[in-house]
Amino acid sequence: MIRSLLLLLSLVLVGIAFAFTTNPPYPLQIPNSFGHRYTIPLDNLLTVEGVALGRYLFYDSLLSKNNTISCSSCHQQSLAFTDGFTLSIGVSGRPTFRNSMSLANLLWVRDFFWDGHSKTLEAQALIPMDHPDEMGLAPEKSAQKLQQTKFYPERFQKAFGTDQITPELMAKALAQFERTLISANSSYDQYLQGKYPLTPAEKRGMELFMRGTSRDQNIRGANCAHCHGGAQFFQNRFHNNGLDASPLDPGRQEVTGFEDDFARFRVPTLRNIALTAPYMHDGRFKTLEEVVDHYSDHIAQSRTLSADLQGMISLTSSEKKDLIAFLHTLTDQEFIRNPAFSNPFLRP
Amino acid sequence: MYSTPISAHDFQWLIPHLMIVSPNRSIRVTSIGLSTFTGFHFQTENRKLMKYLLLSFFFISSVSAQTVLKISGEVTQPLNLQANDLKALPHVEVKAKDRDGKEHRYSGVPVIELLKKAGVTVGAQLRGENLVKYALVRAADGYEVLFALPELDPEFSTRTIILAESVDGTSLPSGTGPYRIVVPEEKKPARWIREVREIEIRFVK
Ligand code: HEC
Ligand code: HEC
Repeated sequence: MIRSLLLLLSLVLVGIAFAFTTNPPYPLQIPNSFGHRYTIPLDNLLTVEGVALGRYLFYDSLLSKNNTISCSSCHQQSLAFTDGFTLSIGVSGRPTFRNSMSLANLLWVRDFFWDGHSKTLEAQALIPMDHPDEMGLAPEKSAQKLQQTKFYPERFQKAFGTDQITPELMAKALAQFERTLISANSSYDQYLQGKYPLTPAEKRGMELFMRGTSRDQNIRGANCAHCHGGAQFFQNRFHNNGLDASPLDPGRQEVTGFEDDFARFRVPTLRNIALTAPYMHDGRFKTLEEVVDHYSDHIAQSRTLSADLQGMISLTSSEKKDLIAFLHTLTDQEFIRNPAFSNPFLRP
Repeated sequence: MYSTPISAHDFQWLIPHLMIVSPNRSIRVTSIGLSTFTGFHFQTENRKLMKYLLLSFFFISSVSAQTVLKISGEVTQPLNLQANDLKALPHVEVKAKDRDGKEHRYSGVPVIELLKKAGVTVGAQLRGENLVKYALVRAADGYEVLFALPELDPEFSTRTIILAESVDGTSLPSGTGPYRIVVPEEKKPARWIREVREIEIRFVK
């Protein structure tokens, strides 16, 4: 009798413990057209608590040296997670070396940063924390700071089953949150689903964007899709898109050591591009007009200039307007307003 | 879905003074005696100087031997080939039409020779589950194309797919070469991948 009572009691206790520790998997909605060629490390599968914790960390300036800068300072949701600056300013007041990048659809990115020097979001996340010109605080120190709060140990317990905060767990939580930042509901996506009619200008712009020039068939194309094509509007590829005749930034070459990679940079996403000015790795162009003028009229020849840009045609001013009209259809209002991606300290 | 665990390697940048420098780069930096700089991104001044030194170092290092083609994956012998290793392999010439619609003579190594050297299951071994293996060819810019192994094996296919290094007797121009896959008789040259750097043999999962 006592034995069975004890058994019952322990069963109830286990049940209670289970109810407190369950942390269901996060239901990630993968757009069909994006496909499933992405990497989620087996030891960091997405969970509801992990993503929620990552979101707090992303918006918390406690992670910076002087409690003023968070990831979101340079990656603001309203700007598709960029900051609107040519170069970003962190704790030191000195500008970063390159322009801030949009954080949309990172799940499909294979080499992070403009030069692709980071292979996983887990590895990537702690770099800005440590960087003297970004958040300027060693991840070990931020871990200690978080440990001393009332708020965080309990949340790490829920997310990872331990209240001992480490840089590695912080990186994992941040990576989980970043993987949920999917943008796939722009006017262009709605057009593909038959829910939004493109204007004639947008349609002409789309045709210019999607196809290359064919002289025999008398087709004019800007061939943008050759590099920025596919459902995500980027490819995991590195190119020199002709910004300078004598480039100063070696870009990809610093990572691979190959001379042929000199001044090559990752092809960034054009989703939400109307929101992510200024443009290019050094933020040199303020407007899409300047970008399109560049591709049409100012491609600079250099040793590693992409062969795909050698035959670029000069666009007429109405073609330029059409192309820009199309680029505006890539803005995803739902993405920049999604409450799940917003500051949880303001709106949990 | 592809899943890979995080490796210790991914955390290498934690070593304080290597910060944003990849393992590859840090070796280069230290080898020219610059390890005293703390933090690659520390100051713009330092960065400019570093860049200059790095560039001159790349210039020097490019003279020495460099791996030009990597063959990895489901192989018994992973290969890191240098230009001379490739020269030493059997060469053939094929005729094929490029985008310009004109026929050209391409000379290079049949891909099958590379696969044999790496110990890929071709020839008599290309049967059973080995038939669902493929070669993923990757270019410098990250462009990738795929060939099923039987497409590359002369026991299956009548055309010889080669890793070309010259066209009409001259080396391939930069941006196309040093190595480019040429697929004779293919109507659209989208798999004629330029600037080839890697061949990875994989099993369909
Ligand atoms: C001071 C501004 C600043 C802060 C703070 C900052 N970032 Fe960034 N972020 C940048 C810049 C600039 C780049 C591009 C850097 C480069 O490529 O050299 C970048 C790039 C990235 C990328 C790469 C995106 C891609 O497509 O490759 C990710 C991911 C990222 N940041 C996440 C974070 C996270 C997570 C945090 C907080 C832990 C953070 N950032 C804090 C400025 C900042
Ligand atoms: C050869 C490949 C290639 C082609 C073709 C190409 N781009 Fe790009 N694009 C790039 C690369 C690489 C970058 C990043 C360059 C850098 O920052 O140094 C880029 C950057 C951009 C950016 C800035 C993105 C940002 O976040 O700052 C825009 C906008 C852009 N391209 C639009 C276009 C348009 C429009 C076309 C067609 C007219 C086009 N691109 C054609 C490779 C290409």
